[in-house]
Amino acid sequence: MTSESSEGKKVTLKSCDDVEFKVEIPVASRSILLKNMIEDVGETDQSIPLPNVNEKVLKKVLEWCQHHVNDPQPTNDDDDSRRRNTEIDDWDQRFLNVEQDMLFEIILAANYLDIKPLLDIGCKTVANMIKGKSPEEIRNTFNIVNDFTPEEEEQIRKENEWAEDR
Amino acid sequence: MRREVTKKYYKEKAKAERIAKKQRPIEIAKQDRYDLKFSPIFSSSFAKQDQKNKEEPKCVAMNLPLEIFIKIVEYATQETALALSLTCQKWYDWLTDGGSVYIDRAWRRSRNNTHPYLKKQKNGVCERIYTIRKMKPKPIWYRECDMCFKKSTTNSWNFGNELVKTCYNCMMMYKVKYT
Repeated sequence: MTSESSEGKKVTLKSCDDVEFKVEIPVASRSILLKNMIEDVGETDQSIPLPNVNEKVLKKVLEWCQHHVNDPQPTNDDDDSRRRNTEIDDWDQRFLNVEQDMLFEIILAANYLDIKPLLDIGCKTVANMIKGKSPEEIRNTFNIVNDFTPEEEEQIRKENEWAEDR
Repeated sequence: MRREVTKKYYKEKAKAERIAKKQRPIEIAKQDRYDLKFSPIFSSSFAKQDQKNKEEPKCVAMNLPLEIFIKIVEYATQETALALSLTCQKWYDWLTDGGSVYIDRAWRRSRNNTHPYLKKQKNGVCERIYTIRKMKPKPIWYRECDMCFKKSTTNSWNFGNELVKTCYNCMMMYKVKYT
C-alpha cells in the first residue's frame, strides 16, 4: 500500500486503556507492525488493539509519527550508519525531553510497534543521559538498587584486574 | 506387632530418603539451582504474590529487555559500557555473557564509538576484555588500589621491579615492612 493511495484514509488504534485514536494510514505506517497489519487486513472499520501501549504513550508515539510522516523508511543498510551517528536532531531532543519513566515507555512502545528510528533516538537519549557516569551515578540516575555484595564487587574487580594492560 | 513393623519400615524409608537427598550428585544439585534460577517457582499463595509484586523494581530501566539494553550499550561509550556492567547483578550477567555474539558486538560498537580506528582484537580475545584492556586512561571511578582493591586515591610506586598503584595505607604498610 503506497502512501499516496492511502492518503486521507484513516485507521483506528485502540490503546490498552480503551482509548481510540483515528490516524491517517501513512502516519500509522511509520510502525512496521501496524503497516503489516493494515496490509494484511486491508481496509476495516474495526479498531486495532494495542495491548502493550497506554493512551499517554500512544499519543506521544503518534505525535512523533505525524512529525516524521514524510521521512524515508529505514533500510537494513542504514543500521550501521545510524549506530555510528549519536547525534539527535533538535525536534527529537525536545520531543524526548520527558520524564524518565515516559522515556522508557516510549522506547518500549517503539520496540513493540517496530518503529526503528524512534527506538534508536530513544536509546541514544538514554546513552547520552549516562555518558561519563560512574556505576554509582547510574544507579542514582535510574533509581537502581546495588545488589552486589561487597565480596561480589571485589570478585568482579579482581576478574577485571587481569584485563589491565599495565 | 504388625503396626510397629510398619511404623519402623516407614521411619527407615524416610531416613534413607533424607540421606539420599543430602548425598545428591553435584550435577543434579547444579541442575536444580539452574532450574530455580531460570524457572522461578510460582506460589499459589496470594499473600506471597503481593509481596513479590512489591519487591519488583520501581525503576523502568531495570525492566528493559535485553535487546533494548544492547542497543543502549551500542550507542554508549566504552567507559559507560563498563560502568553499566558494574551497576547491578542483572546487567553484569548480561554484559559478561561471553557466549553471546550480540553482547560481543555491543562491546565492540561501544569501543568503536570512543576509538573508531582501534585495531581489531586478536582471535580468541573476548571483546569485553579487549575493551577494558585498551581503555586508556581508565575512568576515574574505576581507579583502585592494586593491593586491597578498594577504590581510593592511588599513588604509583615501585614494588620490587613492578610499578604498582595503591592507596596510601597499602603503600605505607609495605614500605614499613620491607624497608
